[in-house]
Amino acid sequence: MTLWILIGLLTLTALAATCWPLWRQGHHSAARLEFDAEIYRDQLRQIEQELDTGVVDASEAEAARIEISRRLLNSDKGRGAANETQRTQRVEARVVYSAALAVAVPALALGIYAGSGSPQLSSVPFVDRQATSLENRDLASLISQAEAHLRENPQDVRGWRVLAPAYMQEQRFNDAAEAFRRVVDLTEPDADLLTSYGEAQVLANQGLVTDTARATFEGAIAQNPALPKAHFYLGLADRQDGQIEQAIERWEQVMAAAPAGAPWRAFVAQHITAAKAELGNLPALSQEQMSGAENMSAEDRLAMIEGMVSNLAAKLEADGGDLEGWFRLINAYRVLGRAEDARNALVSANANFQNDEQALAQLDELAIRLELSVQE
Amino acid sequence: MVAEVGHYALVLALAIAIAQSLVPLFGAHRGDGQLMRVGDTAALVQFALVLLAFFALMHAFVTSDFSVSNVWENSHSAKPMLYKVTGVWGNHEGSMVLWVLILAFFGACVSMFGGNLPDTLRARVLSMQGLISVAFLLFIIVTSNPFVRLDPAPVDGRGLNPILQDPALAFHPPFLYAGYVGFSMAFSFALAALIEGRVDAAWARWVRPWTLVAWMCLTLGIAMGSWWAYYELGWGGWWFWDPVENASFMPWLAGTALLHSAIVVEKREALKVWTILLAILTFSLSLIGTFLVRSGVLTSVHAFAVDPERGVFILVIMCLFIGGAFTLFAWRAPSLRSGGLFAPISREGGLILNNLFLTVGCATVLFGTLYPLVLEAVAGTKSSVGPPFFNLTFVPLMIPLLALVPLGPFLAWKRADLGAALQRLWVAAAISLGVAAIAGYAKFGGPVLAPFGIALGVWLIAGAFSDIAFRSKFGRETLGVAARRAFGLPRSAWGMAIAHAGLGVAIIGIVAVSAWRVEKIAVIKPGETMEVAGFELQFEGVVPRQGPNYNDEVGIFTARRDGNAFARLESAKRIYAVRQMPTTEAAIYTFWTGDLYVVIGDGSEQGRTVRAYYNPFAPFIWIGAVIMFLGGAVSLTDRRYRIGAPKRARHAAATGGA
Repeated sequence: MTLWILIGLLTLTALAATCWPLWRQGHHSAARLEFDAEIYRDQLRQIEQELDTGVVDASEAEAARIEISRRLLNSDKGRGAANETQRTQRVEARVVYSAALAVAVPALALGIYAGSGSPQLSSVPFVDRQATSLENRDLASLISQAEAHLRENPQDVRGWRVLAPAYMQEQRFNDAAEAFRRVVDLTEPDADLLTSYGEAQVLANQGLVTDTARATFEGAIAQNPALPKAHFYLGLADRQDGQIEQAIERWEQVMAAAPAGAPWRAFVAQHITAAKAELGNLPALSQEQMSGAENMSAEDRLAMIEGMVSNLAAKLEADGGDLEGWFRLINAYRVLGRAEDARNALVSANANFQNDEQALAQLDELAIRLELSVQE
Repeated sequence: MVAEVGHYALVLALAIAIAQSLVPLFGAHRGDGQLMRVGDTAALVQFALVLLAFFALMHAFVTSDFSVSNVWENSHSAKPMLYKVTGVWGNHEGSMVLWVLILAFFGACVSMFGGNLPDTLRARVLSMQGLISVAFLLFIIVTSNPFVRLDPAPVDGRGLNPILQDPALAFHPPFLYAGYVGFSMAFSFALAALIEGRVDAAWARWVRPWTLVAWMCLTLGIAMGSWWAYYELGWGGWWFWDPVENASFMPWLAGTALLHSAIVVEKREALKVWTILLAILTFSLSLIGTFLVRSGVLTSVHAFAVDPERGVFILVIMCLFIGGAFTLFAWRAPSLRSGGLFAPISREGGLILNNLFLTVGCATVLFGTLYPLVLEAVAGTKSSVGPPFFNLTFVPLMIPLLALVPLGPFLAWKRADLGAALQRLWVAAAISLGVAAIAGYAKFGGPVLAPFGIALGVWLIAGAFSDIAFRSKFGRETLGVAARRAFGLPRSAWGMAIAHAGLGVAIIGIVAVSAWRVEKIAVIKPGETMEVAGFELQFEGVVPRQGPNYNDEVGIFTARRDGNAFARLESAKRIYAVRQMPTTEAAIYTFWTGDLYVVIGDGSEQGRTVRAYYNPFAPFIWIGAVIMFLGGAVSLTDRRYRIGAPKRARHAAATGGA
């Protein structure tokens, strides 16, 4: 409510101030000629001064004087134009002008603000939030305490062990991966720790399972072959490598070994469905398209796939900001055996993300994995 | 709520700006004084509203209100207060608000101090200024709204680009923008004059102070930017012909040309069409600069805004303004009466030569800046035009111009005697040749042309003061009389002399650094020493140090000359916690005659990589720029810019009726 009162006051003040000259009586300024004359009179004075200092001699000064006088005459001639006269408006005209402004200005301002503003939100200064939200502050202060402690004692495994999950909770995945790495370096890591380390790496890379992450998961499985999470991520790695069948196989094993009530069953099942869809039809198809595709001949199906790939390519050409899309396109080209196109897509993707180092690193990773090399 | 008030104020400013661009224009057309004066109040109101929006945004930054998306993206609760404040314009959205704030400020200044302008001219100038505001406010609200909110608010912000956390960088955008945007005044005056169909000596005098202020700000802004690059980027250089630097340099060159050609209009009513064209061009280059930096077409440390939508919007604004202005120009310019005649060798001729060199120089820079972009767009290949191009094209163009600068003020208007002018400069010529000889002797073995470069700088300084000495009759009158006469010279004469001398000082710095800089790179361990330009640098070791939001690895050096320690230098590698981005802090020890510049690099088994430079006379570059700024300031105080409104008007206003 206060906000709307302020908005109303602001609008009124602005309008009143703007319209003020329309209602102010008796202010008449001089005609253009007199403004010009002021300047030219000053120029004449300046000539005198220059003559006095010897910058110009008598004949030069005389010529300059004549020239300036001519300007004075010229500007007098220009005065005849009708637009130099100063009119005063009748009251009706003033009412019309003021009313037009009083309607148009608030209408425009409120119209735009209604579209773009968020009047329902109040300010959230940092100080207030620290006071109100204890939970956040606790984690934040815990982290900064731990950071300070670890700067002094970087060999303290226990500290890194506490800090790493805290980073994960704060979604600082880069920091989390670094903290886990410290723990892994400083101790004999167990399988669970390795899995968490791998997961942090994947999240830090926006879901991409890098080679180091893969090695981490494999290390975890070597210690404990029954880790569903590690298997799941290895499946994800396979899928990202384009080995979709292998991914599905691995995930189905995870599902088979999963306890009946495990909350993550649905999640894995979802991945399997998506991977199957991708396997049948590159890229992923809607339910309708899938049922349609089952009844097609091999050529028709291929044509449909090619059509969808080129659709995706066209979309990315128009708007290259979709990193996921580029991954799909490059993978699709690779699967269809169009290596040249895959390479070109990679070049365009690189060009699109030339300012985003993280994306570039992921694209490089993909290129290495698919053995696409880009000649500069 | 503060943020919402700011948001609304910005939107309301747009509505008022639309009124400001339409009502006074219509009033001037109708000859209606009351409608024209709506422009005055609208300009003030618009400024007040944008200021309110700016402070609202600043409030959000200072209180770390992360419910404002812009604050969340660009600030952090742990950031030092200074950078919370400067963070307001350290990002795309905020910097555009600053841009418009300065634009509105210039408009408000015309409204407050423009009492000496005829009503129709002032109304039309304000209308044009309002039109520019409309375009940029629309741009902000549509594509880069700084008041977009987040709900729920994130816990903490994402920091400011650490490389931008630096005092010089924090303060140079306001000056740079004041320069860029200041040339909008010249543009608005030019368009207003075209609409009126009148460009005369009076017009030239009215527009001059505004152009001068813009030029001064741009000079200082460029100098601060270059100083920042010098000590923050840690490459030892001070100018890289980076497109962003060029973007600010081009309006400066065109603006300098404009300052000089407007003198001819004021004195002789000649070069009118050319001056109008320059005024349009200068602001167009400012717009191009804004486009280059803000659209992200360039990829460099400066271009921190990347969004094609914005680029297209600015491109449209640019095309509308530049295209519209040139259309108006093509339509109205032929109707301008041509002014006084003059011989080729005359003050006018000299100023034309100045304009010719400056605009061709500007065109060269423009070509070098845009060529890679055009090539990339057309052929899709990345290329870059580096310093060699500019050294081969721009530098040779400037040498004759600089050589001719001292001559100009000695040339008479209309028809001048070149011989007499040269005669009056013989002392200056002798001094500069003497200095060249000394420089050549002292630095024997350096580039052959360097002593002549130094001589050029000295020639500019000595020539500038020869003018003052001649005008005040030093040597021909007694010292007391001459000093009194010198004191009584118009401030604009002093301003010119000071600015030209400042240019000379900067040239000396530029030539010395380019020709005689010494660079050493070594890998050394603590305890070892390296030698650069006669100085011994002993590497003491590296210590960690913690700043408010960064961690430093500080390399400590003891600098000795002839075995005597004279300074302890600390160069740091800095890591900012939030963005995990490393920057370098160069250690610079400044003498009168140069800078000792040390940068610590990465470590390895063999020790630390250390780069050390000796940059002779480097501080002169920035001192020169500051002197140029002061010259402009002195010129601005000239009595002739304080000519008030005609007496009758003042009388009429005071008595409340005519």
